[in-house]
Amino acid sequence: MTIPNENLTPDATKEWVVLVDPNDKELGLMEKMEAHEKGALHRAFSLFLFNSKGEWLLQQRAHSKYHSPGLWTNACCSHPRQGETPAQAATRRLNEEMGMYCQPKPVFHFQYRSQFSNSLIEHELDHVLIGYSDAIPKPNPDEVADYRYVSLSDLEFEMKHYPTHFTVWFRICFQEVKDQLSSIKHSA
Amino acid sequence: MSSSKPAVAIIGAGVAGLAAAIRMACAGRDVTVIEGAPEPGGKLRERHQGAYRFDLGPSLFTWPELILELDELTRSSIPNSPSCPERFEFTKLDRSTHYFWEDGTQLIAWSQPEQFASECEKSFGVNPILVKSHLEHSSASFEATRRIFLEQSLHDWNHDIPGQWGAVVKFFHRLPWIGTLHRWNQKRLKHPKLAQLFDRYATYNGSDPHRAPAMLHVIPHLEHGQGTFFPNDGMIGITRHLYGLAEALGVKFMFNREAIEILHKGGEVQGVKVSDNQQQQFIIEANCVISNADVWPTYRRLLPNLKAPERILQQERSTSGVIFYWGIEGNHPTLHLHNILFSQDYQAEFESIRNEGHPGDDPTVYINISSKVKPSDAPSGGENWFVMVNVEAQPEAIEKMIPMIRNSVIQKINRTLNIDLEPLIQNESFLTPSDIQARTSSHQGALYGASSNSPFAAFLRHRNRSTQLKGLYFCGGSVHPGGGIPLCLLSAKITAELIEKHA
Repeated sequence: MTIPNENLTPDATKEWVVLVDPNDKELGLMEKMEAHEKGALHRAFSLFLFNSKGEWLLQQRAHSKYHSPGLWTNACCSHPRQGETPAQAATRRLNEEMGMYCQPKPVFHFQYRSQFSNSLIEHELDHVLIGYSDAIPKPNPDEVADYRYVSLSDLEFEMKHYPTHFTVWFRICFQEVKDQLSSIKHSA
Repeated sequence: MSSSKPAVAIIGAGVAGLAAAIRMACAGRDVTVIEGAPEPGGKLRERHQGAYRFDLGPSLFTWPELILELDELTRSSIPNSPSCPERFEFTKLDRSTHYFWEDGTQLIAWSQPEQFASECEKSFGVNPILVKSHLEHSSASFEATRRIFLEQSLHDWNHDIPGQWGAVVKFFHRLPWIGTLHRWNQKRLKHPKLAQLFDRYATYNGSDPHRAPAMLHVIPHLEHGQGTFFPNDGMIGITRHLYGLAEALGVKFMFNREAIEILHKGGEVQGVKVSDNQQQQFIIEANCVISNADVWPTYRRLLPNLKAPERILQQERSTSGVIFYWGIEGNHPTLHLHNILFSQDYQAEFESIRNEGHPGDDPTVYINISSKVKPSDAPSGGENWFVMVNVEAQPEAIEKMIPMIRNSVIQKINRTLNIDLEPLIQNESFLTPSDIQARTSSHQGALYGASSNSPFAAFLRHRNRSTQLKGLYFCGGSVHPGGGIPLCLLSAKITAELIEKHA
């Protein structure tokens, strides 16, 4: 069911996503599964985390996840709650999934639509954030099967030779994140 | 004879020969080791290929206590000796093997039994209690039988080992005295892929699980009960360490020297006739000779005038292997130190090995990558892949099949890992059954001497002490208790004990 924007009392026992238009204007809430069944555009975030060696933290999604199980992806991604900024949501979920803390910085957003083999549709306006941490991850086994740090060159090798090991959204925004990262480095 | 205790000559500086040398030197003997190769190690040697380093042979390290025992023995024999090498260092691994099937199924064999069992549940949907009880049975059988079958001569009982029969008698009814390993696993594990995983342990002594006795179900205990380890200097570190201990003990080594005959007179050994690389012959006198060479050439070449134990020598050989050493571009994170890419029809693969010599176009491929735990074994951005398939121990026939086998291995890796491997191979070399035979004297290039493809195999391995010639002993992978590093080390121990007993 969809809750219009005016009625802000969603059932707390369910997970909700914020429906948006292509300009990120909020349209209301929808139960998470329903949104993925209907392919309704909703707000999401993807946090890319780096250590001080410049290595990328990757997480392998738990084998029990409702889509993209066992695939490798960025440090953390999920959906902001109602009234929560992508950066706040990223801070919260990074703690829940990886047991880590960082101060995420929004860099860009993009929209994508992808159909998974189990007939779920991911249709997201995805806010990409970048953060840094040298803390040792304490992954939550319900969310995360494994994690590792990789250098950019190793990651590029893997993306080329094992593309199917990575999530769709990671493959879509990898190049852009890489470019943003080098511009951050150059401006610093 | 210069020393009061008789001199010992050891033919072959393989793992068992080195261990026997250490034990005999610690017992105060004057020991000479004769080795045809320019360096020690036998099958356990290394190769450098560009910036990649490869351990050539055995790649799995279990039961480290057997090395530590030699360390301790040496230290108590020459306390405070400055020439004694540092203690042997190794690391316990959190997992043994990554298993892959072509349909995308994967399984990580974690060292921790609970974790392994729950991984099996995740990948196969089998009850984790079933897996745990399978492992526990393997461990209990191992403990019940080790003293009888592994830690002493089967032909020359050592009545001093306490509780040896009690352990077997107590567990007698739970030991699978009949039936094959495959039947045992299939019946108990109720899942074809999990049974295949446990069937593979038959290949640890070069046997076929569909013919080898169920008693081999004790093998997984070494990996899952005791755990797997990695020597900090790589597998070659085992050879270097044993050689270092032997040298510190004053063992004399003669490399590039080939033993050509074991001399004997009146039923007693007298020494070894040796040839150097200029074909000059000389004699090393000894009233104790230990052959660490394969038992087959020991009788056929070194003892021409002695009646050979034909029934034992004609036992079916264990399998050999074709190993490709590939310097591979890139890091491949789904792979770990030990990886198995399973064939879809294991029985058909073994039948193909037996009938055609090669595993066919769907081989089970073992990939060992030591740079995963020892990064200096490969340049940055690369990995050293040791890629092996089992083949029949038939040197001439297999030699002609190498391009075909190479192709089927690459296709198998491509299909299973979903990758195009050929362009990533930066450099390569390989080892075939005929190389193995030439380098190590292993008859037909068999990796573990005779196979265990018969219910009586354990009793048809050659004994460690000759009954024909006083002073003649045997150690190494072709004799009791069997092949592989732990059993080779145990064969040296049994041999040393027999020598003391019969001195």
